[in-house]
Amino acid sequence: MALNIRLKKEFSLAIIHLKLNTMVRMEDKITFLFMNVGIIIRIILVVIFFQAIYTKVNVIGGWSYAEVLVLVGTWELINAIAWATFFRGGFRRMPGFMRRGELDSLLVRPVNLKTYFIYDNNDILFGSLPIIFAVILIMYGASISSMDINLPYYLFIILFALIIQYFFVIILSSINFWTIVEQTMHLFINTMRLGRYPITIYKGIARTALTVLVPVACIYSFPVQALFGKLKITDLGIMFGVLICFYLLSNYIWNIGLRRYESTGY
Amino acid sequence: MNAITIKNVSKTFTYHKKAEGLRGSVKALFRREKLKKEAVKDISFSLKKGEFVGFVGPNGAGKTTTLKMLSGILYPTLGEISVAGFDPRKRQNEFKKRISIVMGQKSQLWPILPAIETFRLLQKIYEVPEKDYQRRLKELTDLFDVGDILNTQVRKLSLGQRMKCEIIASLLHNPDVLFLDEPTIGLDIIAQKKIREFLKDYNQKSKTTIILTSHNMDDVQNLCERLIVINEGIIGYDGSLAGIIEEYSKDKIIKVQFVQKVAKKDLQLLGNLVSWDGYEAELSIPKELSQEAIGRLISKFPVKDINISSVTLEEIITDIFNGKG
Amino acid sequence: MLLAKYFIAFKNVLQSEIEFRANTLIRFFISLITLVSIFYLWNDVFSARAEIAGYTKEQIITYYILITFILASVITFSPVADNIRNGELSMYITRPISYIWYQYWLALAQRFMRVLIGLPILIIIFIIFREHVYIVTNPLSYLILLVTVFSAMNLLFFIDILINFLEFWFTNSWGMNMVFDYISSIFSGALIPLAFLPSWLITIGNFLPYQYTGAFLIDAFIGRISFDQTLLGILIQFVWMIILYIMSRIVWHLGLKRYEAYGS
Repeated sequence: MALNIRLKKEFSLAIIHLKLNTMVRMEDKITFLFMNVGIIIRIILVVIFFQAIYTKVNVIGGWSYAEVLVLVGTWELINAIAWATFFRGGFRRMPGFMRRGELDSLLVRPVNLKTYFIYDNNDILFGSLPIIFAVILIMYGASISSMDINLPYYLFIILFALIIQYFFVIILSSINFWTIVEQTMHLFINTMRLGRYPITIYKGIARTALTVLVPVACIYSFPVQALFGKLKITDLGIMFGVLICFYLLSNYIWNIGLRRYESTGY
Repeated sequence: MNAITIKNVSKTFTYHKKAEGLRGSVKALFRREKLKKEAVKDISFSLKKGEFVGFVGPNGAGKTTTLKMLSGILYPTLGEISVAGFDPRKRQNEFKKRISIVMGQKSQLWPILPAIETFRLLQKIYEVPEKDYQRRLKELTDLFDVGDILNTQVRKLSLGQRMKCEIIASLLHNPDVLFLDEPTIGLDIIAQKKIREFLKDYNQKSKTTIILTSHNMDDVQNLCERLIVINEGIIGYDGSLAGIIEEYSKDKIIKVQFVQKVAKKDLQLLGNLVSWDGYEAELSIPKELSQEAIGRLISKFPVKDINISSVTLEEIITDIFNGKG
Repeated sequence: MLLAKYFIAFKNVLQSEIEFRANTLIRFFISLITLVSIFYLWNDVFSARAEIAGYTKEQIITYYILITFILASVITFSPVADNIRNGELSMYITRPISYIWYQYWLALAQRFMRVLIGLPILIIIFIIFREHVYIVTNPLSYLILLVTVFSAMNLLFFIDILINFLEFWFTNSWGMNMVFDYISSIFSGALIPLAFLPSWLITIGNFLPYQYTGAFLIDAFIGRISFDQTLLGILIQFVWMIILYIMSRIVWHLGLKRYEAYGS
């Protein structure tokens, strides 16, 4: 299919899902309001946590309180965007789809599931609440820091961070083609939590693993470093390398997973 | 060219043995047996465009597996399949736009929203041009007479109304081939009739090839000219519906009630006595001899009430399942 | 005879827990991932100092390992709120068993199973990281741990069921459930050892039972508090158990009245 036609179709499908999902969420406003207020409370808890530590020390991993606040905000921002889109989508619901046979209905449709799952269960409406809160936190952190900030660079790196996270979600979700593990998303959340702290606290093999294998460094720490002009060129290069590798890997694993599903039907 | 062709198709699954009891579960932590199941064994058949075929068999016979292979959800272990000119395995978008599948217990419609919203979504998914969409929507809605419920939340509709919307949803993109898996399950008699009328009408007008699986023999008898019976992965019968009745229902069933008690051996002179309790009896008499037998019954015995029927389709198929016939 | 029915419930849960073996084990391992960051974080924080808020580096790491383990073991998915919401409760109240006790044994079985499965993993972690953790040698401490953990499980059960009972009055009470979870995570010391929190928060926490479901167990175990304080804490655990038990019976009684008036 020609690229521009395909893009147009994806776009129109995304729009209609935005409309439909908003209608669905509005039917249960209370629940979604609660959920997102809960996320905001949780963000506050994390800030309390770091505040408590910073009453006893001046730096964590060489990062100041201001930088860590921006990190917390960035962590929440990226996850909130992911949660409003692809993380909430079909990838997370794969175990359920397969158990109830709903994956079959989706496979029969002329849509590419990898892109369809980005918007099929989106919650841009209520999900924007934590996004706004995270942005406020980032702005606050940036304001109390004494360093210059580079906003365009920050946004540019955030975009790539989201893309890397998206490919990571595809890989995790593909595990369900071999064995239905209800925990894939639990695994995702827990590994992403490792990125809540400055990447600099990790040493040696852990640091390498968290940069290229489970790239929380790329997703969370690099944008913050970019904002404060501290992102090294080598790290930027690594990030692009990770992006390409994850793209190829996610494609490959998803496709062979799908083929396996077709032969076993689970 | 045939609309659907299946040639020498087999499908084998491997699965793990389920553990029993507490001790079995603990054992299963370490090692589970691997078992093979041959769901479908070397089946072949083909359908012409516009045929309406009934696909029947007991649960686990291989019906759903076959449908899944035809729609591209599963691929066969052996053999070739062609549907609407495509190989389902390739899962091309063009192929997917030509087929549609309705599964009785699963729904495509978003429950919290009115059906019309899901229709819009499907229009976008199947890339149906606006004019065609409006025209088909009107045609299908009129044919089913559901205009007034399209704007009601799907979860508030009755099962029958939901099914009608489900079927409309599956036909909006004008598929060449339609797979129906238990479409009337759980519906009341009136809804069943309405759906049957619709499907018959639609099939005749649009010449869409339809495969219907159902446990409801009324569905099959009313809609299908052709019947394929599958059991344990093998096709037991593939031919016309009329033909199967003709061939297998050689007997007439005569149920009779008597005013006074009648002796067993007297009745047995007439023919095969299926059941007898003194006042009521059931006889199975070959068609050619039935008229004579009925005459003798009425003239020689104190008959209170008599009922003559043919062997039902259900009984015929059950016999085929069990290997008789 | 009476106990027999609860025992069968216990055994059934054990079996289904084993059947969810992949899930249980994996859930455990996944929860342990966060320990990696804890380890590195506190190594960094303690790079300049040997002791903070009365904890050494080894003690803090032990603290987090234990509290993660406790959290992973005692999180149960209580069906009570669901039972109330979808009317299944009616099925239980017509049977000759006490609903609360039935749920108690169910929860106990789940927690027992999790602890059992997690214990070898815990021991392995302590062996692997023996240079970085604080190993407790006093056997009395282990005995005390057993007592405090058991009391904590009971406390958690009653807290949990009280929150679930909110469903009698509010449908979809899981929103409130979530808020209580967050409150619990602060005051049980799961987020950070209580000594790090500002004093006004610590004061609030003293009026709540949460610290006796987490922080207290570990502080007593690693000897950060004196023996007398430990005994006092055990007593306070016991008092809270009684208070919460009484509260749950009262709320159950009131809730049931409302349930029977309104149906499901």
